[in-house]
Amino acid sequence: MASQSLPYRQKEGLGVWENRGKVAFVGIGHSPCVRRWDEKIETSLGEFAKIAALNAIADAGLTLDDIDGVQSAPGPLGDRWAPRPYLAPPFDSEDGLSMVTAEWLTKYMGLKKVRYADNRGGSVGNAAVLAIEAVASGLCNYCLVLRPLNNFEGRYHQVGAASNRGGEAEEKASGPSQWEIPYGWAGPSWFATLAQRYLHEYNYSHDNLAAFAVNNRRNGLMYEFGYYYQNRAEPLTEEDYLKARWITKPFNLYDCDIPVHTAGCFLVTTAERARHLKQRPAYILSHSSGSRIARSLEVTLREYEESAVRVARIALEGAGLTSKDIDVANLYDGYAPFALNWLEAWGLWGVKRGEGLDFLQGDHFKVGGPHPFNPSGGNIGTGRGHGTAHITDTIQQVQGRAGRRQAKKADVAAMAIMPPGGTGIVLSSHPG
Amino acid sequence: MRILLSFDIDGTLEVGDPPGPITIDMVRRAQGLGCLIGSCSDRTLSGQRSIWAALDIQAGFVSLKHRLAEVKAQFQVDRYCHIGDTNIDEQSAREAGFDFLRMDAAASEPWVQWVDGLGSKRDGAEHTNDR
Repeated sequence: MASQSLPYRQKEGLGVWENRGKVAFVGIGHSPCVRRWDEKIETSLGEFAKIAALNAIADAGLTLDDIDGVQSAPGPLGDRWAPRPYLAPPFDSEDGLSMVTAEWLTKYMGLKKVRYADNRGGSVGNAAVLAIEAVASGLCNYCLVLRPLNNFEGRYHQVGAASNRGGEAEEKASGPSQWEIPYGWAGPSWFATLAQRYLHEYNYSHDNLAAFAVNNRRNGLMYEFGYYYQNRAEPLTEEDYLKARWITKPFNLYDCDIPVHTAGCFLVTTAERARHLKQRPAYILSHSSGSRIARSLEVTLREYEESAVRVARIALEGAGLTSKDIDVANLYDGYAPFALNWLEAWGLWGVKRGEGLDFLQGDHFKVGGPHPFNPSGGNIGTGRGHGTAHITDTIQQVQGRAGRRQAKKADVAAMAIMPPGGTGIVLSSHPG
Repeated sequence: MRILLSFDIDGTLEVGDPPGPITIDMVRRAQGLGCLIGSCSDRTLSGQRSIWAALDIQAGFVSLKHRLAEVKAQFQVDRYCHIGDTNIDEQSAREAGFDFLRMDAAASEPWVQWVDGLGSKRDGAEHTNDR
Protein backbone atom coordinates (compact mmCIF):
# COMPACT_ATOMS: atom_id res chain seq x y z
CA MET A 1 0.00 0.00 0.00
CA ALA A 2 1.33 3.39 -0.95
CA SER A 3 1.81 5.59 2.09
CA GLN A 4 2.55 9.05 0.72
CA SER A 5 -0.05 11.80 0.83
CA LEU A 6 -2.70 11.74 -1.85
CA PRO A 7 -1.58 13.50 -5.04
CA TYR A 8 -4.85 15.28 -5.77
CA ARG A 9 -4.74 18.59 -7.56
CA GLN A 10 -7.12 20.65 -5.44
CA LYS A 11 -5.81 24.20 -5.57
CA GLU A 12 -6.08 26.83 -8.25
CA GLY A 13 -2.88 28.41 -9.48
CA LEU A 14 -0.96 25.15 -9.86
CA GLY A 15 -0.43 25.90 -13.53
CA VAL A 16 -0.06 23.30 -16.22
CA TRP A 17 0.14 19.77 -14.83
CA GLU A 18 3.73 18.59 -14.95
CA ASN A 19 2.71 15.25 -16.45
CA ARG A 20 0.41 16.67 -19.09
CA GLY A 21 0.22 14.22 -21.98
CA LYS A 22 2.70 11.82 -20.40
CA VAL A 23 0.11 9.29 -19.18
CA ALA A 24 -2.76 7.68 -21.07
CA PHE A 25 -5.75 5.41 -20.79
CA VAL A 26 -5.17 2.41 -23.02
CA GLY A 27 -7.79 -0.15 -22.06
CA ILE A 28 -11.45 -0.41 -21.11
CA GLY A 29 -13.19 -3.41 -19.61
CA HIS A 30 -16.62 -4.08 -18.21
CA SER A 31 -18.48 -7.02 -16.78
CA PRO A 32 -22.12 -7.65 -17.59
CA CYS A 33 -24.43 -5.11 -15.98
CA VAL A 34 -27.40 -6.62 -14.15
CA ARG A 35 -30.01 -5.30 -11.77
CA ARG A 36 -29.15 -7.48 -8.78
CA TRP A 37 -26.84 -10.31 -7.86
CA ASP A 38 -28.48 -13.72 -8.33
CA GLU A 39 -26.16 -15.19 -5.67
CA LYS A 40 -24.17 -17.36 -8.06
CA ILE A 41 -20.38 -17.31 -7.88
CA GLU A 42 -20.03 -16.63 -11.59
CA THR A 43 -21.93 -13.37 -11.19
CA SER A 44 -20.39 -12.35 -7.87
CA LEU A 45 -18.85 -8.92 -7.63
CA GLY A 46 -15.40 -10.50 -7.42
CA GLU A 47 -15.96 -12.47 -10.60
CA PHE A 48 -17.41 -9.44 -12.33
CA ALA A 49 -14.32 -7.47 -11.29
CA LYS A 50 -12.13 -10.16 -12.80
CA ILE A 51 -14.12 -10.14 -16.03
CA ALA A 52 -13.84 -6.36 -16.24
CA ALA A 53 -10.10 -6.47 -15.58
CA LEU A 54 -9.49 -9.23 -18.14
CA ASN A 55 -11.45 -7.25 -20.70
CA ALA A 56 -9.44 -4.11 -20.01
CA ILE A 57 -6.17 -6.00 -20.30
CA ALA A 58 -7.26 -7.64 -23.56
CA ASP A 59 -8.54 -4.33 -24.88
CA ALA A 60 -5.07 -2.88 -24.46
CA GLY A 61 -3.41 -5.93 -26.00
CA LEU A 62 -1.56 -6.77 -22.80
CA THR A 63 -1.21 -9.91 -20.70
CA LEU A 64 -1.67 -10.55 -16.99
CA ASP A 65 2.08 -10.51 -16.53
CA ASP A 66 2.25 -6.92 -17.75
CA ILE A 67 0.07 -5.65 -14.92
CA ASP A 68 2.11 -4.24 -12.04
CA GLY A 69 -0.41 -1.87 -10.49
CA VAL A 70 -3.98 -2.20 -9.22
CA GLN A 71 -5.98 0.76 -7.95
CA SER A 72 -9.44 0.02 -6.67
CA ALA A 73 -12.36 2.06 -5.46
CA PRO A 74 -13.49 -1.08 -3.71
CA GLY A 75 -16.88 -0.19 -2.30
CA PRO A 76 -19.27 -1.36 -1.00
CA LEU A 77 -21.72 0.91 -2.67
CA GLY A 78 -24.94 -0.81 -1.71
CA ASP A 79 -25.57 -2.98 1.31
CA ARG A 80 -22.97 -5.28 2.76
CA TRP A 81 -23.51 -9.02 2.38
CA ALA A 82 -23.44 -9.73 6.11
CA PRO A 83 -25.27 -10.82 8.20
CA ARG A 84 -26.03 -13.36 5.51
CA PRO A 85 -23.59 -16.30 5.72
CA TYR A 86 -20.44 -16.02 3.66
CA LEU A 87 -19.49 -18.48 0.96
CA ALA A 88 -16.49 -20.73 0.41
CA PRO A 89 -13.11 -19.01 0.04
CA PRO A 90 -12.22 -16.67 -1.54
CA PHE A 91 -15.76 -15.40 -1.02
CA ASP A 92 -15.59 -15.81 2.75
CA SER A 93 -15.68 -12.13 3.64
CA GLU A 94 -17.14 -8.93 2.24
CA ASP A 95 -14.12 -8.73 -0.07
CA GLY A 96 -15.22 -10.32 -3.32
CA LEU A 97 -18.92 -10.03 -2.48
CA SER A 98 -19.89 -6.45 -1.61
CA MET A 99 -16.47 -4.94 -2.39
CA VAL A 100 -13.30 -5.83 -4.25
CA THR A 101 -9.97 -4.55 -3.02
CA ALA A 102 -6.83 -4.33 -5.12
CA GLU A 103 -5.28 -7.08 -3.03
CA TRP A 104 -8.24 -9.42 -3.46
CA LEU A 105 -8.32 -8.92 -7.22
CA THR A 106 -4.57 -9.39 -7.48
CA LYS A 107 -4.78 -12.72 -5.69
CA TYR A 108 -7.94 -13.91 -7.43
CA MET A 109 -6.55 -13.15 -10.88
CA GLY A 110 -3.13 -14.50 -10.09
CA LEU A 111 -1.38 -11.26 -10.97
CA LYS A 112 2.23 -11.98 -10.08
CA LYS A 113 3.94 -8.70 -10.97
CA VAL A 114 1.88 -6.27 -8.91
CA ARG A 115 4.05 -3.84 -6.94
CA TYR A 116 1.46 -1.11 -6.41
CA ALA A 117 -1.91 -1.91 -4.82
CA ASP A 118 -4.10 0.82 -3.39
CA ASN A 119 -7.72 1.21 -2.30
CA ARG A 120 -7.97 4.90 -1.50
CA GLY A 121 -9.93 7.48 -3.38
CA GLY A 122 -13.47 6.32 -2.74
CA SER A 123 -14.81 7.16 -6.18
CA VAL A 124 -13.67 5.83 -9.53
CA GLY A 125 -12.69 9.38 -10.44
CA ASN A 126 -10.29 9.72 -7.55
CA ALA A 127 -9.10 6.16 -8.07
CA ALA A 128 -8.27 7.04 -11.66
CA VAL A 129 -6.33 10.06 -10.45
CA LEU A 130 -4.33 7.94 -8.01
CA ALA A 131 -3.55 5.43 -10.77
CA ILE A 132 -2.55 8.21 -13.15
CA GLU A 133 -0.18 9.68 -10.58
CA ALA A 134 1.17 6.23 -9.66
CA VAL A 135 2.10 5.66 -13.29
CA ALA A 136 3.42 9.18 -13.74
CA SER A 137 5.67 8.85 -10.70
CA GLY A 138 6.94 5.41 -11.68
CA LEU A 139 5.28 3.43 -8.90
CA CYS A 140 4.02 1.11 -11.63
CA ASN A 141 3.90 0.90 -15.42
CA TYR A 142 0.51 -0.65 -16.19
CA CYS A 143 -2.15 0.12 -13.63
CA LEU A 144 -5.69 -1.23 -13.50
CA VAL A 145 -8.37 1.10 -12.15
CA LEU A 146 -11.27 -0.91 -10.77
CA ARG A 147 -14.74 0.14 -9.74
CA PRO A 148 -17.06 -2.66 -8.58
CA LEU A 149 -20.69 -1.78 -7.82
CA ASN A 150 -22.84 -4.20 -5.90
CA ASN A 151 -26.59 -4.42 -5.65
CA PHE A 152 -28.04 -7.12 -3.45
CA GLU A 153 -31.63 -7.98 -2.74
CA GLY A 154 -32.76 -5.98 0.24
CA ARG A 155 -33.00 -2.40 1.34
CA TYR A 156 -30.35 -0.49 -0.57
CA HIS A 157 -28.24 1.70 1.70
CA GLN A 158 -30.54 1.07 4.61
CA VAL A 159 -28.82 -1.54 6.74
CA GLY A 160 -30.09 -0.92 10.23
CA ALA A 161 -32.29 1.74 8.69
CA ALA A 162 -29.28 4.02 8.54
CA SER A 163 -26.49 4.95 6.21
CA ASN A 164 -23.72 7.46 6.13
CA ARG A 165 -23.08 10.16 3.62
CA GLY A 166 -20.05 8.38 2.33
CA GLY A 167 -22.35 5.98 0.58
CA GLU A 168 -21.48 3.15 2.93
CA ALA A 169 -24.22 1.27 4.65
CA GLU A 170 -23.86 1.37 8.43
CA GLU A 171 -25.58 -0.28 11.32
CA LYS A 172 -25.96 3.06 13.08
CA ALA A 173 -25.95 6.66 12.00
CA SER A 174 -22.74 8.27 13.15
CA GLY A 175 -20.90 11.54 12.67
CA PRO A 176 -22.92 14.26 10.98
CA SER A 177 -25.46 11.75 9.79
CA GLN A 178 -26.66 11.12 13.35
CA TRP A 179 -28.45 14.44 13.06
CA GLU A 180 -30.00 13.59 9.71
CA ILE A 181 -30.54 9.91 8.98
CA PRO A 182 -33.01 9.28 11.82
CA TYR A 183 -35.22 11.92 10.23
CA GLY A 184 -35.01 10.51 6.71
CA TRP A 185 -32.55 13.14 5.61
CA ALA A 186 -30.48 10.93 3.32
CA GLY A 187 -28.87 11.25 -0.11
CA PRO A 188 -31.85 11.95 -2.32
CA SER A 189 -33.42 14.39 0.13
CA TRP A 190 -30.50 16.69 0.71
CA PHE A 191 -29.42 16.69 -2.92
CA ALA A 192 -33.03 17.44 -3.80
CA THR A 193 -32.98 20.59 -1.72
CA LEU A 194 -30.00 21.83 -3.73
CA ALA A 195 -31.77 21.02 -6.96
CA GLN A 196 -34.92 22.76 -5.76
CA ARG A 197 -32.88 25.82 -4.85
CA TYR A 198 -31.29 25.75 -8.30
CA LEU A 199 -34.67 25.60 -10.04
CA HIS A 200 -36.01 28.39 -7.87
CA GLU A 201 -33.01 30.66 -8.14
CA TYR A 202 -32.73 30.42 -11.91
CA ASN A 203 -36.46 30.35 -12.60
CA TYR A 204 -36.82 26.87 -14.01
CA SER A 205 -39.30 24.07 -13.43
CA HIS A 206 -38.53 20.40 -13.03
CA ASP A 207 -40.13 19.76 -16.44
CA ASN A 208 -37.26 21.63 -18.08
CA LEU A 209 -35.08 18.60 -17.33
CA ALA A 210 -37.04 16.34 -19.66
CA ALA A 211 -34.97 16.86 -22.79
CA PHE A 212 -31.78 16.07 -20.88
CA ALA A 213 -33.18 12.88 -19.37
CA VAL A 214 -34.55 11.71 -22.72
CA ASN A 215 -31.23 12.36 -24.42
CA ASN A 216 -29.33 10.44 -21.75
CA ARG A 217 -31.57 7.40 -22.20
CA ARG A 218 -31.21 7.69 -25.97
CA ASN A 219 -27.45 7.69 -25.60
CA GLY A 220 -27.56 4.99 -22.96
CA LEU A 221 -29.31 2.69 -25.39
CA MET A 222 -26.21 3.00 -27.58
CA TYR A 223 -23.82 2.27 -24.69
CA GLU A 224 -23.20 -1.45 -24.82
CA PHE A 225 -21.95 -1.76 -21.24
CA GLY A 226 -25.00 -0.19 -19.63
CA TYR A 227 -28.02 -1.61 -17.86
CA TYR A 228 -30.67 -0.39 -20.25
CA TYR A 229 -28.76 -1.49 -23.35
CA GLN A 230 -28.26 -4.98 -21.95
CA ASN A 231 -31.52 -5.54 -20.13
CA ARG A 232 -34.27 -3.08 -20.97
CA ALA A 233 -33.95 -1.54 -24.40
CA GLU A 234 -36.78 0.86 -23.71
CA PRO A 235 -36.63 4.42 -25.01
CA LEU A 236 -37.79 7.16 -22.68
CA THR A 237 -40.14 9.81 -24.02
CA GLU A 238 -40.70 13.26 -22.59
CA GLU A 239 -44.19 12.12 -21.66
CA ASP A 240 -42.76 9.11 -19.79
CA TYR A 241 -40.44 11.44 -17.93
CA LEU A 242 -43.08 13.98 -17.03
CA LYS A 243 -45.53 11.34 -15.77
CA ALA A 244 -43.03 9.48 -13.59
CA ARG A 245 -43.58 9.28 -9.86
CA TRP A 246 -41.70 11.50 -7.48
CA ILE A 247 -38.90 10.06 -5.43
CA THR A 248 -38.29 13.25 -3.52
CA LYS A 249 -39.18 16.51 -5.22
CA PRO A 250 -37.76 17.73 -7.50
CA PHE A 251 -36.33 14.30 -8.33
CA ASN A 252 -38.60 11.87 -10.08
CA LEU A 253 -37.87 8.26 -10.96
CA TYR A 254 -35.85 9.16 -14.04
CA ASP A 255 -33.75 11.79 -12.32
CA CYS A 256 -32.26 9.01 -10.21
CA ASP A 257 -29.88 6.38 -11.55
CA ILE A 258 -31.02 2.79 -11.22
CA PRO A 259 -28.84 0.68 -8.86
CA VAL A 260 -27.03 -2.09 -10.70
CA HIS A 261 -24.57 -4.92 -10.11
CA THR A 262 -21.53 -4.54 -12.33
CA ALA A 263 -17.83 -3.71 -12.53
CA GLY A 264 -15.79 -1.40 -14.70
CA CYS A 265 -12.04 -1.34 -15.21
CA PHE A 266 -9.56 0.89 -16.99
CA LEU A 267 -5.90 0.55 -17.82
CA VAL A 268 -3.45 3.41 -17.41
CA THR A 269 0.15 3.52 -18.59
CA THR A 270 2.76 5.99 -19.72
CA ALA A 271 2.31 7.75 -23.04
CA GLU A 272 5.50 6.19 -24.30
CA ARG A 273 4.28 2.65 -23.59
CA ALA A 274 0.80 3.49 -24.81
CA ARG A 275 2.03 4.21 -28.32
CA HIS A 276 2.95 0.56 -28.81
CA LEU A 277 -0.35 -0.94 -27.65
CA LYS A 278 -3.49 -2.10 -29.39
CA GLN A 279 -5.64 1.02 -29.00
CA ARG A 280 -4.88 4.63 -29.73
CA PRO A 281 -3.82 6.29 -26.48
CA ALA A 282 -6.31 8.55 -24.73
CA TYR A 283 -3.80 11.07 -23.44
CA ILE A 284 -4.46 12.57 -20.04
CA LEU A 285 -3.91 16.31 -20.16
CA SER A 286 -4.96 17.10 -16.64
CA HIS A 287 -6.89 16.08 -13.57
CA SER A 288 -8.38 17.87 -10.61
CA SER A 289 -10.17 16.91 -7.42
CA GLY A 290 -12.56 18.69 -5.12
CA SER A 291 -12.15 19.35 -1.46
CA ARG A 292 -14.58 19.77 1.41
CA ILE A 293 -17.03 22.44 0.45
CA ALA A 294 -19.50 22.94 3.29
CA ARG A 295 -18.84 25.20 6.26
CA SER A 296 -21.70 23.50 8.09
CA LEU A 297 -23.57 20.21 7.96
CA GLU A 298 -25.53 21.34 4.95
CA VAL A 299 -23.88 22.58 1.81
CA THR A 300 -25.51 25.53 0.10
CA LEU A 301 -26.12 25.79 -3.62
CA ARG A 302 -23.52 28.53 -3.85
CA GLU A 303 -20.86 26.42 -2.11
CA TYR A 304 -21.75 23.58 -4.35
CA GLU A 305 -21.44 25.68 -7.49
CA GLU A 306 -18.16 27.21 -6.37
CA SER A 307 -16.73 23.78 -5.67
CA ALA A 308 -17.62 22.62 -9.16
CA VAL A 309 -16.12 25.76 -10.66
CA ARG A 310 -12.89 25.16 -8.76
CA VAL A 311 -12.58 21.58 -10.02
CA ALA A 312 -13.24 22.69 -13.60
CA ARG A 313 -10.79 25.60 -13.41
CA ILE A 314 -7.99 23.45 -12.02
CA ALA A 315 -8.59 20.81 -14.68
CA LEU A 316 -8.55 23.33 -17.51
CA GLU A 317 -5.57 25.20 -16.08
CA GLY A 318 -3.70 21.93 -15.71
CA ALA A 319 -4.40 21.09 -19.33
CA GLY A 320 -3.36 24.55 -20.48
CA LEU A 321 -6.74 24.91 -22.15
CA THR A 322 -9.96 26.87 -21.87
CA SER A 323 -13.52 25.64 -22.00
CA LYS A 324 -13.62 26.58 -25.68
CA ASP A 325 -11.12 23.82 -26.41
CA ILE A 326 -13.44 21.06 -25.17
CA ASP A 327 -15.23 19.22 -27.97
CA VAL A 328 -17.29 16.71 -26.03
CA ALA A 329 -18.09 16.12 -22.36
CA ASN A 330 -19.42 13.49 -19.98
CA LEU A 331 -20.46 15.18 -16.77
CA TYR A 332 -21.78 13.23 -13.81
CA ASP A 333 -25.51 12.86 -13.38
CA GLY A 334 -26.21 10.35 -10.60
CA TYR A 335 -29.06 12.68 -9.88
CA ALA A 336 -29.79 14.40 -13.14
CA PRO A 337 -29.30 18.02 -11.95
CA PHE A 338 -25.67 17.34 -11.01
CA ALA A 339 -24.88 17.63 -14.70
CA LEU A 340 -26.27 21.17 -14.78
CA ASN A 341 -23.93 22.33 -12.04
CA TRP A 342 -20.99 20.72 -13.79
CA LEU A 343 -21.94 22.08 -17.21
CA GLU A 344 -22.11 25.62 -15.88
CA ALA A 345 -18.90 25.20 -13.90
CA TRP A 346 -16.93 24.04 -16.92
CA GLY A 347 -18.52 26.82 -18.97
CA LEU A 348 -18.80 24.54 -21.96
CA TRP A 349 -20.22 26.05 -25.13
CA GLY A 350 -20.48 29.40 -23.40
CA VAL A 351 -22.94 28.24 -20.75
CA LYS A 352 -22.80 30.43 -17.66
CA ARG A 353 -24.11 29.96 -14.15
CA GLY A 354 -27.87 29.52 -14.16
CA GLU A 355 -28.05 28.92 -17.91
CA GLY A 356 -27.74 25.13 -17.91
CA LEU A 357 -31.38 24.32 -18.41
CA ASP A 358 -31.83 26.94 -21.08
CA PHE A 359 -28.98 25.25 -22.92
CA LEU A 360 -30.30 21.72 -22.52
CA GLN A 361 -33.41 22.22 -24.62
CA GLY A 362 -33.96 21.04 -28.18
CA ASP A 363 -31.67 18.51 -29.81
CA HIS A 364 -28.41 20.38 -30.41
CA PHE A 365 -26.72 18.41 -27.61
CA LYS A 366 -27.50 15.01 -29.12
CA VAL A 367 -24.72 12.80 -30.44
CA GLY A 368 -24.01 14.14 -33.91
CA GLY A 369 -25.07 17.63 -32.91
CA PRO A 370 -22.79 20.61 -32.40
CA HIS A 371 -22.69 20.24 -28.60
CA PRO A 372 -22.40 16.52 -27.77
CA PHE A 373 -23.25 16.27 -24.09
CA ASN A 374 -23.07 13.02 -22.11
CA PRO A 375 -22.84 10.72 -25.14
CA SER A 376 -22.26 7.91 -22.65
CA GLY A 377 -25.83 8.22 -21.47
CA GLY A 378 -24.48 9.09 -18.05
CA ASN A 379 -25.67 7.34 -14.95
CA ILE A 380 -29.34 7.94 -15.61
CA GLY A 381 -29.06 6.41 -19.07
CA THR A 382 -26.87 3.44 -18.14
CA GLY A 383 -27.31 2.67 -14.43
CA ARG A 384 -25.44 3.44 -11.25
CA GLY A 385 -21.95 2.85 -12.55
CA HIS A 386 -20.84 5.82 -10.47
CA GLY A 387 -19.06 7.42 -13.39
CA THR A 388 -17.64 4.37 -15.15
CA ALA A 389 -19.77 5.12 -18.22
CA HIS A 390 -18.48 8.68 -18.24
CA ILE A 391 -14.88 7.47 -18.22
CA THR A 392 -15.40 4.76 -20.81
CA ASP A 393 -17.14 7.00 -23.28
CA THR A 394 -14.72 9.88 -22.84
CA ILE A 395 -11.80 7.55 -23.54
CA GLN A 396 -13.56 6.09 -26.55
CA GLN A 397 -14.45 9.53 -27.90
CA VAL A 398 -10.84 10.70 -28.13
CA GLN A 399 -9.80 7.29 -29.42
CA GLY A 400 -12.40 7.62 -32.17
CA ARG A 401 -14.06 4.31 -31.33
CA ALA A 402 -17.31 5.32 -29.68
CA GLY A 403 -19.29 3.84 -32.57
CA ARG A 404 -22.82 5.20 -32.79
CA ARG A 405 -22.02 7.53 -29.89
CA GLN A 406 -19.03 9.06 -31.61
CA ALA A 407 -19.03 12.86 -31.66
CA LYS A 408 -18.14 14.53 -34.95
CA LYS A 409 -15.18 16.21 -33.35
CA ALA A 410 -13.54 14.72 -30.28
CA ASP A 411 -9.95 15.86 -30.11
CA VAL A 412 -10.32 17.09 -26.55
CA ALA A 413 -12.87 15.75 -24.07
CA ALA A 414 -13.78 16.54 -20.48
CA MET A 415 -15.29 14.38 -17.80
CA ALA A 416 -16.52 15.06 -14.30
CA ILE A 417 -17.03 12.18 -11.92
CA MET A 418 -19.36 12.26 -8.93
CA PRO A 419 -21.33 15.29 -7.70
CA PRO A 420 -19.85 18.76 -7.97
CA GLY A 421 -16.75 18.73 -5.83
CA GLY A 422 -15.73 15.42 -7.38
CA THR A 423 -13.09 14.75 -10.01
CA GLY A 424 -12.32 16.46 -13.31
CA ILE A 425 -10.20 14.89 -16.07
CA VAL A 426 -9.30 16.21 -19.51
CA LEU A 427 -8.36 13.77 -22.26
CA SER A 428 -7.02 14.30 -25.75
CA SER A 429 -6.34 12.29 -28.89
CA HIS A 430 -2.90 13.95 -28.92
CA PRO A 431 -0.36 14.39 -26.13
CA GLY A 432 -0.46 18.14 -26.66
CA MET B 1 -67.01 -12.56 -8.04
CA ARG B 2 -65.30 -10.19 -10.44
CA ILE B 3 -61.64 -9.71 -9.62
CA LEU B 4 -59.01 -7.30 -10.91
CA LEU B 5 -55.39 -8.38 -10.46
CA SER B 6 -52.68 -5.77 -10.88
CA PHE B 7 -49.20 -7.23 -11.22
CA ASP B 8 -46.01 -5.37 -10.51
CA ILE B 9 -43.32 -6.54 -12.95
CA ASP B 10 -39.75 -6.33 -11.61
CA GLY B 11 -39.26 -8.64 -8.68
CA THR B 12 -42.81 -9.97 -9.05
CA LEU B 13 -43.35 -11.56 -12.47
CA GLU B 14 -40.94 -14.18 -13.76
CA VAL B 15 -40.25 -11.93 -16.73
CA GLY B 16 -39.25 -9.05 -14.45
CA ASP B 17 -35.75 -7.90 -13.64
CA PRO B 18 -35.02 -9.38 -11.20
CA PRO B 19 -37.37 -12.28 -11.92
CA GLY B 20 -40.14 -12.82 -9.40
CA PRO B 21 -42.12 -15.90 -8.34
CA ILE B 22 -45.28 -15.20 -10.32
CA THR B 23 -45.13 -17.22 -13.49
CA ILE B 24 -46.79 -16.28 -16.71
CA ASP B 25 -48.76 -19.50 -16.49
CA MET B 26 -50.24 -18.21 -13.24
CA VAL B 27 -51.22 -15.00 -14.96
CA ARG B 28 -52.77 -16.90 -17.85
CA ARG B 29 -54.65 -19.13 -15.42
CA ALA B 30 -56.03 -16.10 -13.59
CA GLN B 31 -57.15 -14.62 -16.86
CA GLY B 32 -58.70 -17.94 -17.83
CA LEU B 33 -60.70 -17.88 -14.61
CA GLY B 34 -62.16 -14.55 -15.64
CA CYS B 35 -59.91 -12.22 -13.65
CA LEU B 36 -59.16 -8.87 -15.25
CA ILE B 37 -55.36 -8.75 -15.30
CA GLY B 38 -52.87 -6.00 -16.02
CA SER B 39 -49.67 -4.47 -14.77
CA CYS B 40 -48.77 -1.59 -12.52
CA SER B 41 -45.06 -0.91 -12.55
CA ASP B 42 -42.33 1.69 -12.61
CA ARG B 43 -41.67 0.59 -16.19
CA THR B 44 -42.90 2.98 -18.84
CA LEU B 45 -46.38 2.33 -20.20
CA SER B 46 -44.94 1.47 -23.59
CA GLY B 47 -42.47 -0.89 -21.92
CA GLN B 48 -45.30 -2.64 -20.09
CA ARG B 49 -47.35 -2.97 -23.27
CA SER B 50 -44.32 -4.47 -25.00
CA ILE B 51 -43.99 -7.11 -22.32
CA TRP B 52 -47.62 -8.18 -22.58
CA ALA B 53 -47.45 -8.16 -26.37
CA ALA B 54 -44.34 -10.33 -26.34
CA LEU B 55 -46.19 -12.79 -24.10
CA ASP B 56 -49.25 -12.67 -26.37
CA ILE B 57 -51.44 -11.75 -23.41
CA GLN B 58 -54.24 -9.23 -23.73
CA ALA B 59 -53.75 -7.13 -20.63
CA GLY B 60 -56.77 -5.18 -19.51
CA PHE B 61 -54.67 -2.25 -18.40
CA VAL B 62 -51.18 -0.95 -17.82
CA SER B 63 -50.49 1.65 -15.18
CA LEU B 64 -47.70 3.58 -13.56
CA LYS B 65 -47.22 2.65 -9.94
CA HIS B 66 -48.50 5.90 -8.51
CA ARG B 67 -51.56 5.93 -10.75
CA LEU B 68 -53.24 2.76 -9.61
CA ALA B 69 -56.29 4.73 -8.45
CA GLU B 70 -57.04 5.54 -12.07
CA VAL B 71 -57.31 1.83 -12.76
CA LYS B 72 -59.84 1.47 -9.98
CA ALA B 73 -61.85 4.32 -11.39
CA GLN B 74 -61.80 2.73 -14.82
CA PHE B 75 -63.04 -0.75 -13.88
CA GLN B 76 -65.95 -1.73 -11.65
CA VAL B 77 -65.27 -5.12 -10.06
CA ASP B 78 -65.86 -6.77 -6.69
CA ARG B 79 -62.25 -7.03 -5.61
CA TYR B 80 -59.12 -5.09 -6.52
CA CYS B 81 -55.74 -6.58 -5.67
CA HIS B 82 -52.21 -5.44 -6.43
CA ILE B 83 -49.39 -7.98 -6.27
CA GLY B 84 -45.88 -6.65 -5.74
CA ASP B 85 -42.58 -7.02 -3.95
CA THR B 86 -41.77 -3.67 -2.38
CA ASN B 87 -43.01 -1.22 0.20
CA ILE B 88 -43.79 1.14 -2.66
CA ASP B 89 -46.13 -1.47 -4.09
CA GLU B 90 -47.92 -1.72 -0.77
CA GLN B 91 -48.13 2.05 -0.44
CA SER B 92 -49.47 2.41 -3.96
CA ALA B 93 -52.08 -0.26 -3.31
CA ARG B 94 -53.14 1.33 -0.05
CA GLU B 95 -53.47 4.78 -1.55
CA ALA B 96 -55.51 3.43 -4.47
CA GLY B 97 -57.86 1.38 -2.30
CA PHE B 98 -56.52 -1.98 -3.46
CA ASP B 99 -55.81 -5.06 -1.41
CA PHE B 100 -52.11 -5.83 -1.41
CA LEU B 101 -50.55 -9.24 -1.80
CA ARG B 102 -46.81 -9.84 -1.55
CA MET B 103 -45.52 -11.76 -4.51
CA ASP B 104 -44.35 -14.74 -2.47
CA ALA B 105 -47.80 -15.11 -0.92
CA ALA B 106 -49.38 -14.65 -4.32
CA ALA B 107 -47.46 -17.57 -5.75
CA SER B 108 -50.05 -19.88 -4.20
CA GLU B 109 -52.63 -18.27 -6.52
CA PRO B 110 -55.21 -17.43 -3.86
CA TRP B 111 -57.40 -15.81 -6.49
CA VAL B 112 -58.46 -19.27 -7.62
CA GLN B 113 -60.40 -19.52 -4.38
CA TRP B 114 -61.57 -15.95 -4.60
CA VAL B 115 -63.19 -16.64 -7.96
CA ASP B 116 -64.95 -19.67 -6.49
CA GLY B 117 -66.06 -17.57 -3.60
CA LEU B 118 -64.22 -19.87 -1.22
CA GLY B 119 -61.55 -17.54 0.01
CA SER B 120 -61.89 -14.76 2.48
CA LYS B 121 -60.11 -11.45 2.31
CA ARG B 122 -57.86 -12.70 5.10
CA ASP B 123 -56.15 -15.36 3.01
CA GLY B 124 -52.87 -13.62 2.47
CA ALA B 125 -53.95 -10.36 0.96
CA GLU B 126 -53.50 -7.45 3.29
CA HIS B 127 -56.73 -5.58 3.56
CA THR B 128 -54.94 -2.31 3.25
CA ASN B 129 -57.91 -0.07 3.94
CA ASP B 130 -58.15 -1.50 7.45
CA ARG B 131 -54.89 0.16 8.42
